[in-house]
Amino acid sequence: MALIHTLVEGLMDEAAANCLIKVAGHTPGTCYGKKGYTKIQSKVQSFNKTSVGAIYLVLVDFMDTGLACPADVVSQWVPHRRPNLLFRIVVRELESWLLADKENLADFLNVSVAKIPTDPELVKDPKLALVNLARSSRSKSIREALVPDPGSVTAKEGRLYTSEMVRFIQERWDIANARSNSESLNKCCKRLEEMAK
Amino acid sequence: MYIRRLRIENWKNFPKGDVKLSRRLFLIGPNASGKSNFLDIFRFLRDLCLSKGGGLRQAIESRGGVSAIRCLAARKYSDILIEVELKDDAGKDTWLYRLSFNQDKQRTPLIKEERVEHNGRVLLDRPDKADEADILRLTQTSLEQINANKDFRPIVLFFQSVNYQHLLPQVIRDPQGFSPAQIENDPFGRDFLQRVENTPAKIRDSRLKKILSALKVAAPQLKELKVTRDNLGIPHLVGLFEHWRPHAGKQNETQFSDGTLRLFGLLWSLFEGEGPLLMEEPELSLHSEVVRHLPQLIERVNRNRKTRRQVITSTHSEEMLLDKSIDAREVLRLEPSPDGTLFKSPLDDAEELALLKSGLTVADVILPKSAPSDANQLEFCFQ
Repeated sequence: MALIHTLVEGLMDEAAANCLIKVAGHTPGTCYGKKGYTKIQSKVQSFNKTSVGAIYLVLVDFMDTGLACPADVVSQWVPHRRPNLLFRIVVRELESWLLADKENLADFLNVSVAKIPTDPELVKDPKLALVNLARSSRSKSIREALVPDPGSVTAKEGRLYTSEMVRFIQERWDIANARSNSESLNKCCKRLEEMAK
Repeated sequence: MYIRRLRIENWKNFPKGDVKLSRRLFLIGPNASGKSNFLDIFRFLRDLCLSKGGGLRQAIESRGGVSAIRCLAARKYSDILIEVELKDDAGKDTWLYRLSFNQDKQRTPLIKEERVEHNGRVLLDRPDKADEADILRLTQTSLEQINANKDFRPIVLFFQSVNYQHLLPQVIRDPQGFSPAQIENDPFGRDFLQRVENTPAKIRDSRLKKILSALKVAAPQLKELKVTRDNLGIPHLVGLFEHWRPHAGKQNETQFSDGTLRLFGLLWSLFEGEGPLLMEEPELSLHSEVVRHLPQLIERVNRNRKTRRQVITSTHSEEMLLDKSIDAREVLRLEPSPDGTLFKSPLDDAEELALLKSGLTVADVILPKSAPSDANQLEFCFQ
């Protein structure tokens, strides 16, 4: 069992990273970043340099990087990556990994499983897809929590979106099921499992 | 009911302003831009309506008189005007209340105009003939007179329900050090523990239980929380903290940390009262990670209430404004200028709107604009 610190974009990513670490049999340590992808981009080199003793899991939404392929992100952001820095790209963003657990998400959102896209890594805007699923939910409380108020101009999520999705991640998200639907999640789980326990 | 629109003239920092208000509103601006003075507009309306110690004269006197309220940038037209548009929760009824006042040569506050409309129908339009016959009538608003306000009682009750919270830990610890006599409904907390203690036991215990579970997240050593009275009848907040000596961990409010007291007060105020809640920098003394969760926490408590209240929060906190659910409609930036403070809404700024739409947060786009432009000169003042 290893202690693994995290460097992530936000609160949902923090919850997901901690779950992944625990499922792989490790212990989550301090969570760094949590202020968007630019913070990761600017700090990841420093974490890489110090990752001799400590182990870090870095999660970056591929969508946010604006690059053509995930391999480019690694080569541009951390050209000399050390083995203790697990730099994982989420294809395309964290919501894709949640959509990948189709059955549990459908149950949580109170929508039919048939509505959940089968290949979440191909969904162009996964968060919008998730919010739209919530929009069609049979449950009023889900709609009110996750969908922006009518008349919203810039908000893309409801006022309780983050806290409700963190609840889903912590209480319902089945990583074993989700990884079978998302290659980037599967790879991330494999790297974590390979870390010396 | 909530305040949908506000129009003011010559009120403290603000020479003129007309702004739509949403049910959740974040006020952003540099120091001394008028965030507290903005909140004071709604406290003023409440003070007009208070049955005890309320009324126009008292509300103005407690603010230092008409001259102290009037905006320094006021020139030719020196009347102070407040106009609010209220909408009920079902969206059926709209009310309009307008008050404009000034002072006579003896500095006595005088009403220049008072108007009430209900769904567009005029219920009150002063000065009327009776006012012309008796000028003394113009020293009192109709809000403060039970006989005069029976047609628009709902708005009187609404203004009375405005709740302002800015609890100061030092005041909660030593209320008598700040004023020997007890002050009712004191926003700074002089009667705070008294109010907690006076809450019916069943409601109080249920709130304390919920608050304890939240405080435990912020301060995990805390195990128990209750309100007791000492031999002199003074209420105390008692917390049991985890300690290796089983009885050593008992502490009362004088030993609580600033952060614990602030968070306790903030959570309590979410449960207390019915009307609009005005919060002054709720982030004070709290860890940034706790602050980060405040918008969703406040929203969650609000949703569990019978009626959702309007929440207006002034803040400097990046952590709070990182919340991606905050819409452009829910932000009001106060921008000081040589002619007083101006209202700036992202809705009126194409660049701000485009940045917010692209997925950036209010913390990324709006907060930097509220920074003082010469902040980098601060340290050079001490060369």
